[in-house]
Amino acid sequence: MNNFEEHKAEIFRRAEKLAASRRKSRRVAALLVTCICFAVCLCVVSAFYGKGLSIKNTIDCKVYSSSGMRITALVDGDSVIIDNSDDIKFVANILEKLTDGSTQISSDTSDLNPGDKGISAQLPSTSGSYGAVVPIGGAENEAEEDAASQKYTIEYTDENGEYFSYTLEDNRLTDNERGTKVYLTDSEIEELLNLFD
Amino acid sequence: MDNGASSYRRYLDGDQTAFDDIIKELFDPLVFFIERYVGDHHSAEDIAMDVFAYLIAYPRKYNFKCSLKTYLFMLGKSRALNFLKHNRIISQTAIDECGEIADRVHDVEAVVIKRDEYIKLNQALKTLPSEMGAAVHLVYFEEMTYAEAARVLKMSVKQIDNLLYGAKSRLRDLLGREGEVLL
Repeated sequence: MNNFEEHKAEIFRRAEKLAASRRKSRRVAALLVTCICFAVCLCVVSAFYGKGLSIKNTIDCKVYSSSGMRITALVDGDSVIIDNSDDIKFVANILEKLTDGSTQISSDTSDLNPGDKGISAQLPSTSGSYGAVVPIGGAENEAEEDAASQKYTIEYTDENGEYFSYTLEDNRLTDNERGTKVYLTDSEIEELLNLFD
Repeated sequence: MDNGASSYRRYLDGDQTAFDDIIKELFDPLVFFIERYVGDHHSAEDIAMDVFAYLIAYPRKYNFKCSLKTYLFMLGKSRALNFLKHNRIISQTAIDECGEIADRVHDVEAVVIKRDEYIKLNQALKTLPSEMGAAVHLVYFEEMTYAEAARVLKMSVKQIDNLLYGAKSRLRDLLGREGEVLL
């Protein structure tokens, strides 16, 4: 009888231990399943989000890609065509400072109508077209020209046909419609002027 | 006689005393059966207690499709083989416990071996291969059917039949004509 009680007590003690380890393993399994589900969800969400990012990047690329674009600067009746993509990108970046990123230049040349999109710079005499950089108040001679401040008007028509006009004077770029101004660095001014010269 | 299934059902329904009945009815036979594999009474008791603890901890594992005795013997055999696989057979009995253990072994055997002539048979079974001895044990000592014994030993009924046939031949050599008569 004593043996029976001993055996019974030992059996129930072991059963309790087994049950405890079973509960523990179940908790671990539940945690593992939760982690796996979370990881899967994270992968799915990041896949969608990553896709969105890639689309956004594509748009960004469109903004800064400028193949097929050109800038035409007419200084003293001479036309300077700038079709270097880096130069166009540079100008677009500067204009974007004023438009808070609303200036978008499509790189998709297939839907470009000739002369429809782009940044062009022209003297006032030919500013009927889409873009113009107009030196205003130019000096009579070279010395005066260097001393006096040059004033340029940059006219820009985007791919939707919207017209923007900017004035570049000294190191100040002004949005003529909104009246917002941004001060450019000397290097930016220098590069811009080099482009339009 | 459902070999403990009804007691186990009562235990699952909340009657704690029902498990006492199961232990009383099946613990000693299980120890005796396991001892046939492991050859050590202490280990056999340990394994048998593990089997009963498993029965309590995992109540849904038993589906009542076979008798509880068959199920417990299946678990016992599996664990005994596992024990043999992972442990070297070293007697864990202390010298001063030998007398007590011998008495307990005798008690366990007495519970299972109801006929006196089976004592001689039990001694002879120890010389047989383990599977053959287990088959004889289940069919003649535990009074299981061939199907139940086959289920415990994970064999077909035909294999059990063959084992018993072989056992008879060997026992005839060991015990003479008496051995065959016993079976």
